[in-house]
Amino acid sequence: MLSEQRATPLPAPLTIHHSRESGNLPVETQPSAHAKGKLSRSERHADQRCAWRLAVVLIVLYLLTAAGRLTSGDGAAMYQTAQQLVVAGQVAIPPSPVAPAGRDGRHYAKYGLGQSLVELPLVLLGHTLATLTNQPDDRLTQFWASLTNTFVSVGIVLVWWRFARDLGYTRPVATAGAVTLASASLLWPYARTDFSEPLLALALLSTAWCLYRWHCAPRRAWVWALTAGACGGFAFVTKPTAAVLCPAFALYALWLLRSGDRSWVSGLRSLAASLGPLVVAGGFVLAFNYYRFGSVLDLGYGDEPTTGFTTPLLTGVALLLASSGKGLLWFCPAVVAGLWGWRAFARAHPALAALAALLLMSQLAFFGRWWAWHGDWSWGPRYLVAIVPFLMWSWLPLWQHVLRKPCSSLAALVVVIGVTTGVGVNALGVLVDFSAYYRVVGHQLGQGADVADARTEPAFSPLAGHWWLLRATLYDALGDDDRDPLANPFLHAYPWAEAFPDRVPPHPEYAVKLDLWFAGPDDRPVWVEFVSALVAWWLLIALIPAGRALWSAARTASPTDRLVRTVR
Amino acid sequence: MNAKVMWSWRSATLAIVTLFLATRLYNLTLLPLSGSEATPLTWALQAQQARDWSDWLAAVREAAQPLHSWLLAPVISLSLDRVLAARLLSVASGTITLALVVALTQRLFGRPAACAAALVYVCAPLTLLYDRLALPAALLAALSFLVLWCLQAWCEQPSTWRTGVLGIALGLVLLTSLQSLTLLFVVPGVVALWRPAVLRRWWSLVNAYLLAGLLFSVVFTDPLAGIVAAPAPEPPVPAAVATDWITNARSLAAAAWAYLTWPFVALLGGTLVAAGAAGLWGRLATEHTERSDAEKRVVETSSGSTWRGGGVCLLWAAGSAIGVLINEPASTAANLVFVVTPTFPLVGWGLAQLIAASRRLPALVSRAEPIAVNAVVQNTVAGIVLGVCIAPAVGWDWSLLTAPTSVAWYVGPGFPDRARYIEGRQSGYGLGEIVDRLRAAAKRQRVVVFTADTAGLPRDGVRVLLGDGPNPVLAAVPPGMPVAERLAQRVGREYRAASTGATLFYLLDDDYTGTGDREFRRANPGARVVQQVVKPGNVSHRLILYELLWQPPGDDRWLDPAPRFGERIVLAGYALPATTYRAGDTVRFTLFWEALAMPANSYTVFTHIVGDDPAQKIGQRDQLPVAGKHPTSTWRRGDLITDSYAVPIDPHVQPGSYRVIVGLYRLDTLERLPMTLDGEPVGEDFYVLGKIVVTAP
Repeated sequence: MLSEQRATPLPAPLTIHHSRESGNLPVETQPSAHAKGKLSRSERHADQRCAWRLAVVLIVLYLLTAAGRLTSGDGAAMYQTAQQLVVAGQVAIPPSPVAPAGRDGRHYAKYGLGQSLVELPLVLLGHTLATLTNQPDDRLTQFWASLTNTFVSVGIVLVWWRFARDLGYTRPVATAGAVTLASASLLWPYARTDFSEPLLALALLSTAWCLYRWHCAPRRAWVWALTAGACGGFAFVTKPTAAVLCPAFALYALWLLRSGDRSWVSGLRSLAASLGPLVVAGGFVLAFNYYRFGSVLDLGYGDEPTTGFTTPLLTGVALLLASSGKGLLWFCPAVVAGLWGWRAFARAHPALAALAALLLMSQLAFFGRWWAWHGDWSWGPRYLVAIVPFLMWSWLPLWQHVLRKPCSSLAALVVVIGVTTGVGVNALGVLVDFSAYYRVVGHQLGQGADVADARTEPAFSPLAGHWWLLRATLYDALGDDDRDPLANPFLHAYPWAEAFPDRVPPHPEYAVKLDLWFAGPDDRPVWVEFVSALVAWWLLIALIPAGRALWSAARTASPTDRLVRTVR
Repeated sequence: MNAKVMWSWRSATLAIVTLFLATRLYNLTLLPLSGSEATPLTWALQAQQARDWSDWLAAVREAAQPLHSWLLAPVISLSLDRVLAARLLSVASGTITLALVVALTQRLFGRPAACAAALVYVCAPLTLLYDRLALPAALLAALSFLVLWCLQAWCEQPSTWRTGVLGIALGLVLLTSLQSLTLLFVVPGVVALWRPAVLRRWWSLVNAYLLAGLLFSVVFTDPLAGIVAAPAPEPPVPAAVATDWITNARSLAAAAWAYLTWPFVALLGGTLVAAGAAGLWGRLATEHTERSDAEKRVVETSSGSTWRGGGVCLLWAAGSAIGVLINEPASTAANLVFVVTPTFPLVGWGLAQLIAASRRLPALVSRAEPIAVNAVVQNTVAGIVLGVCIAPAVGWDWSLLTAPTSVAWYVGPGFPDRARYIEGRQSGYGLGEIVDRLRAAAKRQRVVVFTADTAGLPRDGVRVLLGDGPNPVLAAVPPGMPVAERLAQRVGREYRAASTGATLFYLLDDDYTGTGDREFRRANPGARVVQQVVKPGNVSHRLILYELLWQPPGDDRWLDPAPRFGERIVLAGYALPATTYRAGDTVRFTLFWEALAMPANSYTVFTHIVGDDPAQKIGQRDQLPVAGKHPTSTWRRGDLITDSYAVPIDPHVQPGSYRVIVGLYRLDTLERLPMTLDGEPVGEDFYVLGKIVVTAP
C-alpha cells in the first residue's frame, strides 16, 4: 500500500485558470472527475469507504465528548418544541424568557423550527425509551436530544470532505483537512451543544456544495439547483437571520454561471429550480410566524429587530474578531493559521474564496451591529460558527503542501501550530461547562447573569477561566476520592486573582467538574454510572482502531487524485 | 482409526460417563444441607417468590454474585426436595466441566490424555465433593472452563459470532464470582501464548470485554445498590496483605494435597517437569539433528503444541489462583475447584504418558523388543500403575458416598471442613429432624420459629427446609437479643402471628460447651427445651429447639374484614392502648398496614381526632408512614408495616367523646384514597379506630 502511495504522481501546483471566453476574470478551476461523476466503481468504493470511516471516527470522538444534557436555554426551548411535537403534536411550550406569549395566549419558542425538526428522531427515540423504562422525568429524552448536534456536526465534516474531493484534492488532503475542521475548530465544542448554529452551518455548506455540483453537473443540473434551494431554504427555516447571507450565495451562483460552459439561458433556467424550495421555506417561516405570534414578520423578538442594532459596527466587528472573551482569532486559531493557505485556495477556487469572504463580511456586518453580538451564554463567537467550515477551506492547500513530498517545512510548522492550538483551545470548551464558568464570573462580579467583563477583560476570558477550572478538575479527578474538594490548591488560583484581588469567587467548586456525559450528574443510578464508564472507555479505545482504519482508507492512492492542471 | 480402537474409545467414554453419573448421583442427599449451601438457596427462594426485581438481587446485597441463585430459582421449583434439586444443578455443572475437560484435552494432547483427564476428574475427591454440593463452586469451574474453550475457539477464528459468545461467557463467569475477575487479565496472555498472530484482532477482544461488562452491569440495577454500599475498607497494610496471601496460598496447597490426593499432585508436578523437558528436548532435537525440514516442522509443531497447551492450562490456573488469593481470605476449599480444574488436561496428559511408559516397562526390564512382550503383561503393569494413581482417591470417594462422617476431611489451617460439614454450626446434621417436628406442629397450630440473625445455619437452613409461608412464620433475632424484646417492637408478620396466639419456638445452635444454651435461658426465662440433636463427632455442636412463653399485649386489634385503602393498602390492625385522656394530652396509637402490592404513589397518612363532624378536629398528625422512613412507594407485596403516632389533643377542647380516624391521601393533590370493606365501598375515606373520652385538663 505504501509503495502504491509512493507511486502516485504528486499533485501539480495550483494556479489561476484564466478562461479565454471570460476575458480577465478569474474563473473556477475545471471541475474534477469526482464532481463530474466520472469515477470508476473502485474509486467510488474507495471514497465511500473513506467517508464511512471518517464518519465513524467523528461519531466516536463526538459521542465520547458529548455533554449528554441540554446546554443552553435556547436549546432547551427548541428541545421542548420538538418534545411537544412528539408528545402532543403542537409547538406551544411552557412560558420562559425565550418563549413569549403568542397570539392564542400560549407560549412559543422564538427560534426557527429547523433545529426542533432535526431533533425529532432522537427525541422520539428518547421518549420511547423513557416510556418503556418508566422514567420519572424526561432526562433520558434530553440526553438523546442533546446528541443531535453530534450527528449534525459529523454531517458538516462529511459534506466538507466531499466538497474537498469534488474540488480535486486527494483523499489524504481532504481527510486531513476534515479532521482538522472537526477537532481544531469551533465545530468540536459546538457539536456538544444544543444551539442551532451547527445545523445552520450544515445547511449553508450543503447549499454551497450543491451549487458547485450544479455548476459541474453535465446533465440534470436542475436537480442540484433544486437541492441547493432546499438546503438554503432549510437554513432559513433553521435561523431566519440566514436571509442576510442570500446575497453572498446569489453572487456565488452568478459567478459560477458566468464561468461555466453552459449558456446564460440554460444556466438560469436550471438555476430557477432552486427558487421553488426557497419560496416554500420563506412562506413557511412567514406562516409559522403568523401562527405563533399573529404577524408574518414577528419572530418573537418583540421590537428588538428595530431597536436591537445598537452596537457600533466597527466595535462589533472588532469584538467578534479579536475580543479576549469572544474573538474568533482566539477561539479558532486554526482559522488564523489557515490564512497561510488562503492565497493558494483563492487562486485555485476564486468563487469559493469570494463566497467565504462575503459570508464572513455579511455575518460581521449583521451581528456586529446586534446588541447581543456575543450570543452569550456560549463558547466563543457563536454567530460565526456557521461560517467556520467556509473559513477552513484554506487548510486544503496547507495540508497539500505538508503531505506532498518533499513537504514544505514552513507549511508543516503552520499546520502543527494551527492544529495544536486549535485542539487545545477547543478542548477547553469541550471539557469545561461554559455556563458553569459564566456562573462563577457572573456571581463574582455581583451583576447576576451579566458576564460582560468576561467578553472583553482578558483576566476574565473564558480561555483563562476554563484552563483554571480544568486544572482544578484534573487535580480532583486524579486524586483520592476521599480528598476534601475545598482543599484543592487550584481552586483559588483563579486567573483574575492578581488583577482584581477583591473579587473572590464564592463557590468555584461547583464549576469544578468535567462536562462530559459519563462524568455526571452525581444523582445517577449506580447502573447508569457503571454503564456510562464502560461505554466511555470503549469509545476511547475505539478511537484507535477507527483512526487506524481511517488512515489506511485515506492514504490509499487514487489514479484520479491529481489536482486540476491549469490551462494557460 | 480402525473399528477396534474406535470401539475401545467408545467403551472407555461410556465407562467414564457411567462412573461419573454413578459417583455424582449415588446418595446425593446423604450429606445434610450445610450452611454454605443454605444461604444461596435462600437467595434462590427469594428470587423464586420475587415481588420485584430487587428480590432477584438478594445475593448482590450480601456481597455475592447472583448467577448461581438465579439458576437455582427455577431448578428448585422442579422438585419438592430443594436440596436434591439444588445439588443436581451442581452435578449438571460438573457434567459440563467434564465434557469441556475432555474436549480441550483431546484438542491439546490427544485422545489418551483426554480419557486420562476425564478419569482424574471423575475420581478426584475435590471435584466429587463439590459436584455434589449446592455451592457455586461447580458452576464457577464450568463457566471458567467454558471461557477457556470459547477463547480457544476465538483464537482459531476471531469472528464476530465467536467474539459475542466469548463476551457472554466472560459476563456469565463474572456474574458467578468476582474471583474470576483476574481471568480478564489472563485472557490476552492466553491468546499471546496460543496464537500470537490473533492479537492483531485485539479490538474484537475489547468488544467481548464490553459485552461482558454490560452483562455484568445487571448487578448494579439493584435500586438499593447505592444506598447499602459497604463502607470503604481501611487501607490495607502491604505487609499484612502479603502475609494473608502467603497464608492463603499455603492453605490452598495443603487442601489441594488432601482433596486431590498425593498421586494427582505428584502427577501434576511430574507433568510440568516432563512437559518442560519434552519441549526443551523437542527444540534441541529440532536444532541439532539432521532431519528434513518437514520432519523438523512436525517435531516443532508437536512440541510447540504441548508447550502451548500446557502453558495455557497453567496460565489459566495461575490466573484463577491469583483471583482466589487476592479476593478474600481463602475460607473455603470450594475455591480450589476453580483453581485446579484447568490443570486436569495436564494431569491427564501426564497420566497417559505414565501409562504408556509403564506399558514399555516390561520390555525395558527384560531387554526384549516391545513387540515380543505379552500384551497381557503390559496391560497388567499399566493397570497396576493406574491403580496406584487412583487408589487413594477412590478410597476417599467411597467414604464420602457411604459414610461422610468418616471421611478424612481436611482440617488444617484455613479450611475447617470437618466442622463445616460434620460437626460445626454450619453442619446440617439434625436439622431435618427438627424441621419435621416443626412441620408437624404447624399442622396443629400457628407457629413462629425464631433463629439467630446470622447467615448460614440454622437461619437459612430452616428457611430452605421449612419454607417461608403463612404457617410457620420464620423470624430472625439479633444474637443475644431476648425474643420478648424483639416482639415488643411489634414489627413484622411474626408479631402478628405471636399476638394472635401462635406457638413460639426458638432454634439454637450451641457448641459443645453449652455456653449458648446458658445465655439463651438467661435472656429468655421460661424457655423450655422440646428437642435436642447432637451432631456427629466428639466436639460437636448441637441443635436445641425451645418453646417460648410470651404474653401478648392486650390492646392489639386485628381487623377482619380489614379496611382497604385504594387497591393496594390494607389497615390490618391497630393498637389504641387508652381511651380516656385529658385535654392537652397526647393520644398514642399504632397502625399495622399491609401492602397487597407495591403502591403506585407515596401516600401521606392522616390521623385526626374529631367530633361527630369530621371537620371538627381537636388533634391531627399527618405524616409519611413510619415518620417518613418507610414511605408507601417502598412498600412491597406482603409487607406488614408498624406505624406509630402521637397526636396531641388541643388543650382548649371541650370535654366529650371524640373519634380517632385514619386514612391516606396524596400530598400533591390532597386526594384521599377511597376505603372499601370486603370489596364494597363504604362511602367514607377514613377508618374509625375507636372513640376516646376527653376530660378537662
